Amino acid sequence: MNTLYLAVALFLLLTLIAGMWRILHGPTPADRMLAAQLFGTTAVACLLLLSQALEQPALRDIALVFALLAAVTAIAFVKRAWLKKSDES
Amino acid sequence: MDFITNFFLRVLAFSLLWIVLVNGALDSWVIGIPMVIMATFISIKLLPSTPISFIGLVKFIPFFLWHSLLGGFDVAKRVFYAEVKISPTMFLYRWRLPEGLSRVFMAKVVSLFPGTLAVDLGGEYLQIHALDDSVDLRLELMSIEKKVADMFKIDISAVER
Amino acid sequence: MIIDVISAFFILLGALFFLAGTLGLLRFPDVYTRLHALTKSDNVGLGLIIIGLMLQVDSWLVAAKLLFIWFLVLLAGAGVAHLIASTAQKRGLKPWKK
Repeated sequence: MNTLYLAVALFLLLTLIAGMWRILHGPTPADRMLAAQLFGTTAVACLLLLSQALEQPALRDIALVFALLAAVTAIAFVKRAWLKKSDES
Repeated sequence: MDFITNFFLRVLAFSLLWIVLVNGALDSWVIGIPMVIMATFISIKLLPSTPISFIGLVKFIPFFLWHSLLGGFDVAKRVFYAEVKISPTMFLYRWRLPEGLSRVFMAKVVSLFPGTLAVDLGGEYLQIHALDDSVDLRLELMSIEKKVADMFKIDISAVER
Repeated sequence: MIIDVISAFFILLGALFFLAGTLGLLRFPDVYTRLHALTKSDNVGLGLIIIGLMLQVDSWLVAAKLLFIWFLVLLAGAGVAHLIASTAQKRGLKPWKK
């Protein structure tokens, strides 16, 4: 099973690298944010798989924090950086 | 639901969450007890109790899981075609649900279901971005809305469309 | 063991959905359609991987934590999708038409 976990984690990392293209090319800031959102979810999945494969339960907690932070980052981005105060409340 | 029941249900829920978070470590209750009490008071302040039908909730969970799975399949199917199979459109759906939590809940649910994405939910209408303009999603939205209403103990049968 | 096979099936299927999400992000024509691809398929992908892992863990506490993580991601994903879509609209991004 451990080989499978590691293989899938690696596969997910590869999809992340593909997603990197969207971050580089945009074209709008929202597209970049979307890619970042994808990174968050994928990182959670990777960490959970690694936690199981390496028998490191602490990685699960890191995944949990990632899950929380991904949401906060996205909201902060939309409210602060993308939707400027001058445009909308 | 009276205040005492509400209070104790929340304490119970947060305590369970704490046990899960710390993997049942007993010595962690030194921090856990104040945390649970604080969380309970903050949650009562921020989210006053909403009537939720237990049966409605139990019925909703399998419905939600199945349809969000279909939502995933639907997108995956469209993505894997050689030529991306989509013809997106925007449309408005008149709310029957009253303003508040139930609308927000429905908007989130709809965004995970096949082909629909909630764009705007303010005012009288729910604005939906759909991946496929060849199907009429209104009937489907009505049935989802009915289920959400049942869960929140809201009667929408009288609201005219 | 039979459990291993079932769990491997869920995890591999989950990985496939992650691939679909990434492909959607790369192939779909605008923000709105990419949002569809991303929120739906990633949540299903993570859900399936978590089911696969839950079959392997030995304590219900860990299983519950995994389920809680999925719930958080689900909640965040759906909320952020709506926030990005409505902001895109306010900023005047026109949806792509066939």
